[in-house]
Amino acid sequence: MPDLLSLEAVDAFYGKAQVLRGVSIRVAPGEAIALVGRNGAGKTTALRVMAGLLAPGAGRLMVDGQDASRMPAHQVSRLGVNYVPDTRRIFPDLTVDENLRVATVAHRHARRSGAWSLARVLDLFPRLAERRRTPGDSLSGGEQQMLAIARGLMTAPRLLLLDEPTEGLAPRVVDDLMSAMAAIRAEGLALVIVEQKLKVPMALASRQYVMEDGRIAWTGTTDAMAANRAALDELLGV
Amino acid sequence: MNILIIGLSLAAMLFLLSAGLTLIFGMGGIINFAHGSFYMLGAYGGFQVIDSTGSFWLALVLAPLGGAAVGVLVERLALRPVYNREPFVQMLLTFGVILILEEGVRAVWGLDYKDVSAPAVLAAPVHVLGATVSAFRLFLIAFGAAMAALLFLVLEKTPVGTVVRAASADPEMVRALGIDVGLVRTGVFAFGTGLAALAGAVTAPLFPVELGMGFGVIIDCFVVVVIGGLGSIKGAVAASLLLGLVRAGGYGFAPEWVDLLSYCLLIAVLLLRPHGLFGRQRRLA
Amino acid sequence: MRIKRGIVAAAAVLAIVRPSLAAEPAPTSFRIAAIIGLSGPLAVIGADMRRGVEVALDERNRTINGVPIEITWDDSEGKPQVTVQKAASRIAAGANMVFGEIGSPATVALSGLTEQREVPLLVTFAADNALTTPGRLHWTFRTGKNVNSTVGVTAGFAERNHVRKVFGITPDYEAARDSWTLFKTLAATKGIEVVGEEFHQTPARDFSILLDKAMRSGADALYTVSQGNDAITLLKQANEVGLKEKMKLFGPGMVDEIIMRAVGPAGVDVGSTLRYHWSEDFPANKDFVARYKAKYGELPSANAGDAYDGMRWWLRVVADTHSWDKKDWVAAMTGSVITDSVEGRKDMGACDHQARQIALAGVGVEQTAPDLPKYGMKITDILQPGQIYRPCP
Repeated sequence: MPDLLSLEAVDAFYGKAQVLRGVSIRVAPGEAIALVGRNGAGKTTALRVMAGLLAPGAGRLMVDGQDASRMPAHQVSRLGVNYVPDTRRIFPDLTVDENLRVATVAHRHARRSGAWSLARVLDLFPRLAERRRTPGDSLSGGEQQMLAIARGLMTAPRLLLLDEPTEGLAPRVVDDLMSAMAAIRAEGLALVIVEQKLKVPMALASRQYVMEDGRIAWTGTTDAMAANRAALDELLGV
Repeated sequence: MNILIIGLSLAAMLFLLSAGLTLIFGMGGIINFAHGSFYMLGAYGGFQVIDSTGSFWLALVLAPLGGAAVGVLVERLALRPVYNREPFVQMLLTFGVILILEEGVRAVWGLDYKDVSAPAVLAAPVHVLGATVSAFRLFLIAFGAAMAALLFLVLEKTPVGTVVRAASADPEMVRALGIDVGLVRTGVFAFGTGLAALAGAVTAPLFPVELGMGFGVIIDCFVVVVIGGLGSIKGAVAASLLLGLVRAGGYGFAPEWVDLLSYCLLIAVLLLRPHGLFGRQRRLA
Repeated sequence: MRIKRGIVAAAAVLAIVRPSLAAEPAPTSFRIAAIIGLSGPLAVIGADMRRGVEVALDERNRTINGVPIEITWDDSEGKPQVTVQKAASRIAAGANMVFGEIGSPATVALSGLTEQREVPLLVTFAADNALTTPGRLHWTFRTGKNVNSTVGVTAGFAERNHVRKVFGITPDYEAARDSWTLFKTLAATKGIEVVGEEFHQTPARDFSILLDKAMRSGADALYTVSQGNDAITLLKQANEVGLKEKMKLFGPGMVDEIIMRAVGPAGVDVGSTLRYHWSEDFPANKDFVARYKAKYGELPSANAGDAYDGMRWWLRVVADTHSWDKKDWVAAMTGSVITDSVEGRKDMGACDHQARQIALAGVGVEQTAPDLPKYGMKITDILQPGQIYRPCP
């Protein structure tokens, strides 16, 4: 099966500073993978390249076998790749409803095939259903994270790029989010999960990429990672 | 009573003038010094339409469209390449736009003043609650209020408005949701300049139509926008009302101190609320 | 004190050297440094003044006593500082005379420079009395009309239009306040009562409240010293509330051709002084109007005619001296008389360098003749110099 999205030997820079060095990652349709590694290893940058928000300095971003390296982010999004940032970036002036609706504007066509309706998204996150008229900046951290994922789903994506979806949240909220993400995965949506801690990746992803210093330091299946934990803990800093 | 009605008419004009400026600022953080030039362009455009067709009402339709079209050009050719540069580069560019527009208007229409009169239907004075005001001013009040309501509805109740508000807060996130932010920016800039041109056309019967007319109003615009809070339409409405009524009161009791009064109001608001009546700290960060 | 001593020293030197310089050598060109507002709000005035001066030069085939006339046009931007700076560099480069500026503050500043550098200054527009205070300025001449004369004309206008009670609106700066005070003095002598007055900032954004006060004051006329953009705003907003149907509206320089084009019907019947009018019935004026029309395809405005007439007079005086010494020109201009100006006879006051001339009162009119703009001015009264100017002692 062709890859839904892949990075091919990508270098990436912020100004003159090189952040990614020859990173190759691939995601098949419906597959969940995880990018793990310490803070500053380049995980978020890799996600930003995948989302089209940062153009690779060398190497290529491929979507459906086509070169998308120079494609503006909004076009990458229209190909069904959606980015859910770690800081959630909920629009503060907009209500929960408006935050969800704004995501549908550019995706009317894709949404016609009907994957995630507003009702289904609100079913998935009942907390949001109770707060539809609340402005984004009045939500709790957990609610903002739910809204960020829900907003991503409203773009009718084939691939969600989740940047640290559980960071800084209470354990009970993390459990809620994990079951929501499992439900999303069960729908056949591909996921790229970036986390520093291994709990979510081990539970949801089938393959793992371990990053260090802008490179892929190790890659393998989740089972292989579980078998190699002792060796990898050093890399992961756990 | 008279002071109230005239104050409201001043407020309506101030609002029409400053709404576009605050919208544009809210969108890209662009301080468009050329706003006054678009106001001038609208007045000259309005004059041209009236001169050619005899219809003030047609001028109110065509002048803003012209202003918006020039706005599209300016945004695409001048501002787009510098969105990621330091703010002063954008300011310098909008200064350049002032010179270009002024030279352009001068080349097309010459140095002469142009005469724009109120349409005959609104030319007669009317008596409202013991005050003599012109029908045209009452029309201006209604027109300003209608524009404010329309802007509000569009921004708060339509998908386009939602996108604009979202893009004002976090353009990159909007892009990640599949929306072409460049297009949104062009649209908002053009809408803002179209509003400035509309203000120029609709107030032309009350003021001299000449090349320097943009300079006088740009100060008023900034006073309104700063009092109201940069980027806030609600703030622009409130600040226009406040300033319009203060000015009308000033003309009533101490006309030689009106400007001073306006600036005192500005300072008082900034002392009490440094980000303006409806401003948010975040926007200035 | 030091200046005075310098002048005395210079005079002493001149007295000794003078005989040998009796015939100063002819320069390669006669250089006029014109410094006027060519951009900004004054541009519309400056452009017309320039046209008028160009016609005056053409009339002499752009030569004077066999020497070509070279004129430079610098944009003063209407600012005193820029005016003085640009004039200074032209004088340093050998300008024989200076023409300009438009506004009173810039012109007064300019006169300070030309006095110091001993270069003649020709003023046609600025009306400030300070430019022609007797005995004050030696190198400065005003061929145009001054404040006192224009206020005198408006007072006469009020009397002839049977104004009994007047309300005044005046911009809040000194020259304007002086002008209003002078009008009040003259009005009192004619039995005209002042029933109210208001002062406004300039530029003024809105006049409607002041106009409302005027209409409620019981006055039968509104007198205003507001000029230019302020006058246009006032007229447009007065028209809005139908003020003209209730009160006579007039003021010194309140309307002219430029303002009539800006306000159209709102300026009709508004009384004003006129600097000049193309219809003035003098042979020289008929010539000028024909030449101007041939060159620019329209009738000369007041500012064009005023500038033409001043420059023509001055160049003629210079030519008649057959001298290239600036002092000779100034001596000749002082007390000179032109009998065939576009406004008939003009006498340059020997005491104050202010030209005595006829004064015009007029009103804005709608014009129907095909070669005229839709709105313009019409002369209603012509006052003789003796009625407005005090003679030099």
